[in-house]
Amino acid sequence: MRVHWPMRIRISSGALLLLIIGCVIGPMLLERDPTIIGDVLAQRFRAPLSADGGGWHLFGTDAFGRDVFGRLLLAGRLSLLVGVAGALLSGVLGALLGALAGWSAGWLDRVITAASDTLQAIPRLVLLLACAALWKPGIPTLLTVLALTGWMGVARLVRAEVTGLVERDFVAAARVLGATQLRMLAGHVFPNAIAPALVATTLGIGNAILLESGLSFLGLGVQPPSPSWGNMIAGGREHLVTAPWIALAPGLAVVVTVTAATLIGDWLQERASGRTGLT
Amino acid sequence: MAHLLRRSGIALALLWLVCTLTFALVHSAPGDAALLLLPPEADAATLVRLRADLGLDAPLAQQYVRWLGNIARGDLGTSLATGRPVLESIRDALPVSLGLGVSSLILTVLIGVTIGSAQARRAGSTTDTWLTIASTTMYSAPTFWLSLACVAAVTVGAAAFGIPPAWRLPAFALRDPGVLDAAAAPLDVLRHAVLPVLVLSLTGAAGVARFARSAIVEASRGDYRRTAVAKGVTAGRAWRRHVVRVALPSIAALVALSVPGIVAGSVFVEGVFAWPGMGKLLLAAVAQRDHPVILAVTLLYATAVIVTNLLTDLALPLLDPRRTRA
Repeated sequence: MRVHWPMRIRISSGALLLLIIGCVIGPMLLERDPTIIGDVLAQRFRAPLSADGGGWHLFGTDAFGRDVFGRLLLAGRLSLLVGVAGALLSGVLGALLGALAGWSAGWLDRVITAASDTLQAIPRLVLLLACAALWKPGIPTLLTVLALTGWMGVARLVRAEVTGLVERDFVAAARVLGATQLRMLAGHVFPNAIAPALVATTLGIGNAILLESGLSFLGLGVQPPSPSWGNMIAGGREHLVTAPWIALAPGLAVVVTVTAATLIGDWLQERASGRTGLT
Repeated sequence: MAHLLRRSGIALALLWLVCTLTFALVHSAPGDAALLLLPPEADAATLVRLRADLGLDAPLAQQYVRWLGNIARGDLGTSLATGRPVLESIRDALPVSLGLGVSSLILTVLIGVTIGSAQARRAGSTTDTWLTIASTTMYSAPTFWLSLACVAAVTVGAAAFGIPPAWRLPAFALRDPGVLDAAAAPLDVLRHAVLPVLVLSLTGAAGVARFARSAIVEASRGDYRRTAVAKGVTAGRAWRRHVVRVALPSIAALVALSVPGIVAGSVFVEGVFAWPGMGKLLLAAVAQRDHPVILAVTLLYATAVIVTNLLTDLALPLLDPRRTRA
């Protein structure tokens, strides 16, 4: 079957692919390392599209004379990695807990559902802020907290699927044939319940990137000098009036990435549910 | 009535679970709250005394029960950073956040539902695609970055275009300290509110539009609409009575769903625009590891979410007669 790719999906995939390739190999091709601080006074606050002795700056230079475009690509590595890893971790956790809840359908189900309802009552950002403030900031904390606060949506979807599948004939057939609990769950129920979880996880990537940038902006995520899109925006905040490009460029990178990821996620969801809505 | 009691009971249980979770969270954190308060040169005896004063020497279970009892009585403790009762700080901050949040929520729903239904009516058209792209882009923009972009626009941007200072929108704070005239003050606050409310309601509306569109597209698939059109109802009336009306309960549920987003957005918006609300309070508390304030603000936000969920739950049967007996 030929897949019809709408124009916005082609453009989104292209942009995302270009961005990933740029972030992975781009920093290796730069003539000047964007993390090294050189002659600050001579090189700082260069406007976008201007050149100095050391080269040409697409997005200008920051307060320390570092090339904003180069740092943007370098930061993209961390931001994309944290976004994808955070969404995957919460997706896996959600799929496991949801399957467990739907399968056990007893007290375990009630415990998991209560935990999920409790966590969903607190706005995710507030929960993230509280956790990030209480534990040592850094990438391991960031990923743990993203996973612990993001699993509920996927768990709910998988639980609903599993509860429906348990009743189906092929599961009953497996039981009659003497399959163990684990085999029924892992071999017959889980594979059939996983599609909505995959789509939700794809949609979670954009969300995780946004949250990472927010926490790093507040100094609770990726710590400088490692660049991430969020802490680059934070770094440009005090120069907003004199050199707005320092804060605006990394924000544009976030917008492009998250828009592309969300459009693709929505499209996958439409295809998975066979509808044209964005449920 | 039984339904009301049951729902309220569930909401209360949820609130208790949230309390327990936040308590566990704070007490699982590494580090000693008393140590944070003391100067580095303090001796061990002072530390012991302070821990006793703060009640940190009691067993955890006892601390938990005492803390729950205090909350039930409305005592949220004192801030570790300022020594002020947390309740007082919240009393100052709450009206600011409530004003910002409620006005943004109203605009969010109005703008979001209008755009979403306009899209659903033209589902699949070029306009629909462009509106989807626009709302997705808005939805994908970090709130704090949009706020910064607005600040840049009204400062450097306005200066670059030569807009006279009197015509520019103020970028920061709730009011102008120079405006003391009672008649001019409300207008001044309104001028200051334009940017924060705009950022908050546009990002929120983008999310609402996405959901409203799908809810209405879903409703427009119903057989009853085709039947209505077939028996001669005009297209406009069929749309209003048989599509939008059917989607109304889902749209009402959206109001509850958009509250956490508004809360999260308001934290950043208050932070960037320097509004002295709950979000700013939370950010300051987070920066200073001020546990009592973090706990109290988190609880309050959770309460807001739980209460709006409860209210929508109770209001749904009014919009959807099928739910009355559920």
